[in-house]
Amino acid sequence: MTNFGKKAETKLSDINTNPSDTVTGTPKYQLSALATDQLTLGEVIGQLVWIKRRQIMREVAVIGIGQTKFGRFPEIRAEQLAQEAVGAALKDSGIPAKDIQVAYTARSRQASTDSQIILKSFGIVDREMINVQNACAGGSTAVHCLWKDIAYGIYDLGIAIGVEDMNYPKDHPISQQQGKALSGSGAGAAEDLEATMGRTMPALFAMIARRQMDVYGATREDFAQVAVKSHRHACLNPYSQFQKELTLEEVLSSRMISDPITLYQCCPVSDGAAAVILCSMDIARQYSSRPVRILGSALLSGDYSFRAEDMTILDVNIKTAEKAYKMAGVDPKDLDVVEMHDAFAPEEIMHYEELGLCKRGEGAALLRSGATALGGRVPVNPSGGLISLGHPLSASGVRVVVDIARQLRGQAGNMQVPNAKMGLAQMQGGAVTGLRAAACGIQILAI
Amino acid sequence: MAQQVPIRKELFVEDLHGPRLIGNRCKACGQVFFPKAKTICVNCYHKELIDIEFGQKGKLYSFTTAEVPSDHFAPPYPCGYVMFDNNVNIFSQLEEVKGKPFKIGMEMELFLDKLWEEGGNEIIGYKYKPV
Repeated sequence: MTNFGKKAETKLSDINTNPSDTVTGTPKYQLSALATDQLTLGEVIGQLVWIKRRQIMREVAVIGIGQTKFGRFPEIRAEQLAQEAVGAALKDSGIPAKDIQVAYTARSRQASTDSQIILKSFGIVDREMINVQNACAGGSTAVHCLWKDIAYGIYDLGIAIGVEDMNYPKDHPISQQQGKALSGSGAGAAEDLEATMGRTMPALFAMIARRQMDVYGATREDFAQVAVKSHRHACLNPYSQFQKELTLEEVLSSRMISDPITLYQCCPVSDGAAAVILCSMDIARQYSSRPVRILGSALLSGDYSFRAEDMTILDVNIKTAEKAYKMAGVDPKDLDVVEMHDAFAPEEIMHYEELGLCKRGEGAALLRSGATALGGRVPVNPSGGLISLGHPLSASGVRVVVDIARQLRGQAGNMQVPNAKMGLAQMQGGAVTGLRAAACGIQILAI
Repeated sequence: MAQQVPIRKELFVEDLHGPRLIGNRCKACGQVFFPKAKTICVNCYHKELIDIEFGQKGKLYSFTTAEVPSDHFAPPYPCGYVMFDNNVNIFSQLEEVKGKPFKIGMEMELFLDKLWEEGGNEIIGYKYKPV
């Protein structure tokens, strides 16, 4: 232990060892430059690695965005949807397709060779291509991995694609299996104990909602209001699956799915694709005088639920957000617009709290205040969100980045948040026995 | 006659003292696991785990009635999480008892029951109902 400490001391001149602590067998080291409290050697090294990483990291820009309309397209296959999104992103960026150095494609149903299949028709072959899955956070994972490649200098320019085709023609063999696959248990359900026992995704979020009601006094009307807001926003979005306003009464009286969640509080079964082209800032400046910057990107897997304080908060979202905020050097108060996972309406209220848009237990109050609607302090899901824009699973994590970039460029049309300068894109994925939420990805963007 | 097969091995036992769930506990940090932690304590990485029996009674943590089907259950079916010591909560199918509507915090009691049929076998698992 002592040798280890001394070794570190010679390397890091500003670390002072405290001999008295070493005697007691619990060596503690203080980094005078950083520490407010006593830090362990591991923590000091962690801080220094963090500082070093920040020095190495390059700034990454979003240079191209594209998406398809989301909806029910049983006759259109994933390949075609993704190619439409890729074509749009390439056109938007202005870069020639051959400049793409690396590609990540996320798709929940199948991800074996999607990048290759999608990109071969653009003349993009013979490159590093990675196909990823991470439940609904698959798209976020693709964006995050591409961001890492560019931030750490492995590549200068690449594409992240998210695509899902969930509706098939009736006679298609997949339609026969689909009843099971889409019963809401999620991918990998056959092996997951809770999923086998009937814990569907709507049931999980219904149980969370029930606790929100019990612990914080959230009401059925609050949950329904999320859906009313989302549907109102979706009417302004040309890409959305639903373009019809709903009243509170219509949402509340729609078919019960998992008490207290009704049909119009659930995301639909959607087809669609989204793509983003990222590059280093020096390249971005050649194409745009005001490129959208990625200030922070983080991806985490879920922690054990026995460590969680309560079901009304998903730790993985809190921790991923903290990581992204720290990297970006910003505060939740700095955000002008947020796009988030709202597969089921009660979730949105929970995520307000996890992302720090309000204090714990005040999510319902924030919604009621109107702050998260278009025209409010920090509009959440101006796109219409998963509930109304639609949720082609792996496309959503890429789509939220597309939406935030569009907002920051001031190109969001009727759903534009006036003068938006900074936004956050969040996507959560999956549920695993003992962990609850399986993954969360967050990107913070600014212009 | 249909054979009774447990949904998984080493999840529960039943004898004269009634049904219990089988979990394990870390000898170092005391964390309890269900299903059992397989090789080490996943909380503190300690190697010694001891088997424990528990779960006859717990408190209802949250619940819902699912109105859409899952792989093995036809709607409507009540289900929920039941809470035990060490912040362990277990998802289970629930059974309604007349005059005792589900309420967060109410005391729940374990029983074993057929969950579904498969290949001529009855798949047996645990369920909870209000005490």
